[in-house]
Amino acid sequence: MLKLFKKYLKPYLAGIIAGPAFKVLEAIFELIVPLIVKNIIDKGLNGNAGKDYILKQGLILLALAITGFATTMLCQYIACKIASKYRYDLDKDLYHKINTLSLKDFDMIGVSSLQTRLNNDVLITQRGVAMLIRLLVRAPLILIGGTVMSFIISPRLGIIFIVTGILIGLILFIVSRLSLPYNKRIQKDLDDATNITKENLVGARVIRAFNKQSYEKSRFYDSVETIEKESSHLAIFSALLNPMVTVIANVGIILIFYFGSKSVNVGDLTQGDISSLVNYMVQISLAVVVVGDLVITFSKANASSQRINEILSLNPKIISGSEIPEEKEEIIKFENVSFSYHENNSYALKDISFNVKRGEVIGLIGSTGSGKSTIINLLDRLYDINEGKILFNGVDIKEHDLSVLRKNIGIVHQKSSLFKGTIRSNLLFANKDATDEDMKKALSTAQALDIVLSKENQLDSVVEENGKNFSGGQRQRLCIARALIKKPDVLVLDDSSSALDYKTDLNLRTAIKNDYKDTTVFIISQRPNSLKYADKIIVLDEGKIVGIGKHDELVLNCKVYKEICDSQDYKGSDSHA
Amino acid sequence: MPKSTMRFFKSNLKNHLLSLFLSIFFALLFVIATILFTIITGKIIDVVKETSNIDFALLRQYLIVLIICALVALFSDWCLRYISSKMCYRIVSELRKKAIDKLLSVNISYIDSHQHGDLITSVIADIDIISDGLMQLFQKLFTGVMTIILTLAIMIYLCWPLAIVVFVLTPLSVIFSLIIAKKSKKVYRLQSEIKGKIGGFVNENLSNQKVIISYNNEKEKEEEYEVINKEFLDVNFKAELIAAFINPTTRLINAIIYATIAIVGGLFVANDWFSLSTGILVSFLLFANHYTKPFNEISNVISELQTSFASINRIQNLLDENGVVDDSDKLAFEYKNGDIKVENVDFSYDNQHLILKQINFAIKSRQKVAIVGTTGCGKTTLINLIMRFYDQDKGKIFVSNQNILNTNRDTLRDHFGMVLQDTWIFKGTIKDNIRYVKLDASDDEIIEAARKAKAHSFIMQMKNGYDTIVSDDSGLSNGQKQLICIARLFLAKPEMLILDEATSSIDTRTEILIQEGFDEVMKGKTSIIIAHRLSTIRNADLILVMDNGKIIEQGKHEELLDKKGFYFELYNAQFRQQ
Repeated sequence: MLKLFKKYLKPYLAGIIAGPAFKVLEAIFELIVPLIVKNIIDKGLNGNAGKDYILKQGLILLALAITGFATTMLCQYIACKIASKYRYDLDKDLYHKINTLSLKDFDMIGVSSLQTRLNNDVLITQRGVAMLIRLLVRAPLILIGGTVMSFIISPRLGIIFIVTGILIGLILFIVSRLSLPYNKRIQKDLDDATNITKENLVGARVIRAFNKQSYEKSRFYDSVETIEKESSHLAIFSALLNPMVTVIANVGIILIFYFGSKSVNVGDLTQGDISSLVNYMVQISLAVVVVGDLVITFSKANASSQRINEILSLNPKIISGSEIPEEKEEIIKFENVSFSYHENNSYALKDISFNVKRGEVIGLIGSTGSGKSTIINLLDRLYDINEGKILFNGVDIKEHDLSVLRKNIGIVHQKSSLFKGTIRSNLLFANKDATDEDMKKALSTAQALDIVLSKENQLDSVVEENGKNFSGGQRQRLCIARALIKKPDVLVLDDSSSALDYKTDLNLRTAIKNDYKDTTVFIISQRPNSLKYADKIIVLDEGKIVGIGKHDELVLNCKVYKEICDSQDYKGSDSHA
Repeated sequence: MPKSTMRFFKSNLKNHLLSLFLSIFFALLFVIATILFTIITGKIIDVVKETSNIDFALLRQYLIVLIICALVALFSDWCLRYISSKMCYRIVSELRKKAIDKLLSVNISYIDSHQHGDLITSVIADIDIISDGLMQLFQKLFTGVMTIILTLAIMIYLCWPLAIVVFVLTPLSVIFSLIIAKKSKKVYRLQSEIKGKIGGFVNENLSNQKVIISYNNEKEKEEEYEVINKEFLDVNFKAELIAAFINPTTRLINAIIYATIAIVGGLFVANDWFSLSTGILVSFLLFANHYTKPFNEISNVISELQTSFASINRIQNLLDENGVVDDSDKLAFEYKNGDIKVENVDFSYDNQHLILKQINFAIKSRQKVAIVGTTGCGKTTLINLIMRFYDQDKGKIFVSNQNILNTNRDTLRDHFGMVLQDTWIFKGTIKDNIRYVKLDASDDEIIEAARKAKAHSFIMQMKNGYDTIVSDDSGLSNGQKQLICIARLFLAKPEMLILDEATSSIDTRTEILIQEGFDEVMKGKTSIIIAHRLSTIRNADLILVMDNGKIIEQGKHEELLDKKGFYFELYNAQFRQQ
């Protein structure tokens, strides 16, 4: 927690010192109060100072109160400014860091956990910061100040204050230590509950279709009950905190009376002294009790900051190179590439080698899990390979400037999704400088122009979260338009016509061939028909290339390819009717 | 406090009356012990008045009472805090359960039309905020109110004129915080809203990070985030400031009261009015501290509650949602045969643009029906209606000769097996994911189902086989997810199947093998397939050709080709040379 605070509060150092400094003034004023009361008692009531004296002392009390208020408000203002700015800075950095995470780390931590950290954990630490500035300075000050004042009044009884202070500190420390593991667990349980809620929303249809509502309920109930149980266990000793502090202070008061009465008896102390000492002890207990509540807040803030630090300390694993090579004839080359998603998993790709010339249409086909999408993920450098080399325009993609590399590759991913906004915003997403003309052209090639024209607001039609107000096929076509509008050197269609009928698919391929002649195209498909006309088809099986060539060659030479074609009832040039 | 909030408290607290009662009891005990402690303190101060004039015996008695009071205060404060905390955590659980119940029973249209991230914020974050507010309420309010009442009573007993001074001045702090509370309602509501907006943004974008990376859009997304982040900064600062204002102000008012008592009380003692002694004055001052503290705390509680009210409002909106599926009065669906008849069905999502127009077709039991057509022509929508995720605007749908509008949805869906375009895998083991549709299935049954779906071999290649933990985001390729969804069908063995482009992400080799398995599972079962694969379509007993929400041709493959119409063109597209 301290590491986090140090980094994000450093820019506000001036405020962090000034704020509590003002509070210090208020605390000092408060500490003077018992002295004034003591004066009123000893001099005004028991002595001869007179009624005017009492009045004057009373007015001093009022003056102190008002001045104290003004300085406190300054502190509050500063504290709020800093606390809200802190949250803003932290969220900004955290989101930025999440954006730079490699997919490997991203997948490992999980979207729900990242969400909780961004939305929930940051706010918890903000609470900690706010309380830190506003309240943390006051308590130790009153504690120390009160102890000092009591020493001045009676060194002997002052010892009681020291012992009390130590005991209180001990309790605070023990409870906060004990609560840390609980708070971490509870936050993690909250991650799980968030995840289940999300799954329930995404899978709403499947759950209902299979009548699994009661199963989902019990799954969620379990998660929620775990949170309840952990929180209740924690409460057993966190509930003890405040009462313990109070009882220690009370025992202190009892001891003051016990020892102090003897002093008064022999004339070492006055009634006013005793009342002041008691007053200071009460002040201390009231101030420290506030800290007691804070311990719980800080415990939670501590657990949350650890979770945030986990993310902030991650380094982007995919580091951009700086080369921007010229266009070359051989645009892509895979050299003995091997790759596995996780250390202990089997290889998803084994010894893959092939090359692609500019403008070629390459087909990628193979059974499920054979590695087709993986090749694309690697080309885009979403992951780094384990062995081998991938060259783009003759340069190893690891040396390539990353954003330029990705700008030149337009990918339509398998599960196409759009973003909340408008059709226009989704297209601008890929190309900030696209004009309406550009958009219409891309949409037309993607066979998506009819979608836009049929809507009232055309390009400004609303797209809901994830594009769920469009059918699967419409989404795919819009995503294809989105990739096209980038005017990429390489266009990748990862099974992107799965939701399209044959006619539309054919029109799409024809349009791409005509409108984007120089674009290198990768098509991943299950339909040999879609790949039939490709310049080169790469056949994958269990991570290995089992055939490269044109369709006619492969039908003769590649067993796997032949099987795929047979299953499509493909009859070569035998067209029906 | 708004009416809906009162309703909220009533409905959520009524099951916790025992805890409430115990909390009040311990609060009372705590307050009495604390006040007694203060009274005795005052008395002791009077005892230690002068040199060589101290009644030690009396002092000892008083000290013993102090010890007892301190211990009782310790015990009762602990019990109060623990019991009220436990109660709050229980209420949080109950609220979350109610929320998920609602989300699972609500109409699909509600889920489709709300941002998921916003709903998640309600269930997770808002309820936490409510819990914080409740905890403050219970732990501070009871003790606060009792302290006020008892100390006031005692102060009146000790010296009624001074008590009147106190009584008149202290409500100032509460009135002040009530005014602030009213003015701040708008700010807190706005804060809650923007928080929901951020939740929605984060959810949508993190879920689609791959696309953002591939399109170099990280910077733009950060700029978008910056806008909402800044919005939140502004409202957050205001909200924090308002909350931070309250404490110092109430402390000021308290200090003024304290000073006033010191002056007035001092004068009373000096003039020997109302038989006020120094000791009693000191007691009074201590009581003044006791008395003003709860006002301070109540002001804080009111402020905390303001943030809670905004969250309570959001949760209430969710819990009050009326569009709930309630089939309790409907008849149970009885499966007699797989006949499906759709008559004159019209449907629109928004009551304005018809998605389906005058749909008419009939399927006999055990027939295989393929629905083909251009994208967006309404195929998935038709499925939505047959599964009763949505209900038609006009027309009737009969399954097994029963009008499904009049039957209970659960019993209807028991007989359908569905594999959708979008796969759904939840976080859990592969075994759990398959077992999902038949929770009492044995391991053998699960493995058998996986075998039939040709999923067994890839599962066995995974690190922990069937016990490998997977989720929607990680661990499986799209094709593998589809295979698992199909395995579910082999396990559930429903009489009627609905396949929405189920096998599109699977290579045709594997698909043949699945087809053989499917043929077996489909034997004697009615099935509706939205397909693009020619092989599937060719073998169908009936093909429905849809375009723009209407069925334009229907018949068997050869018949339709002979018509040389829409289907003919669609079919030929696959053979046209480039």
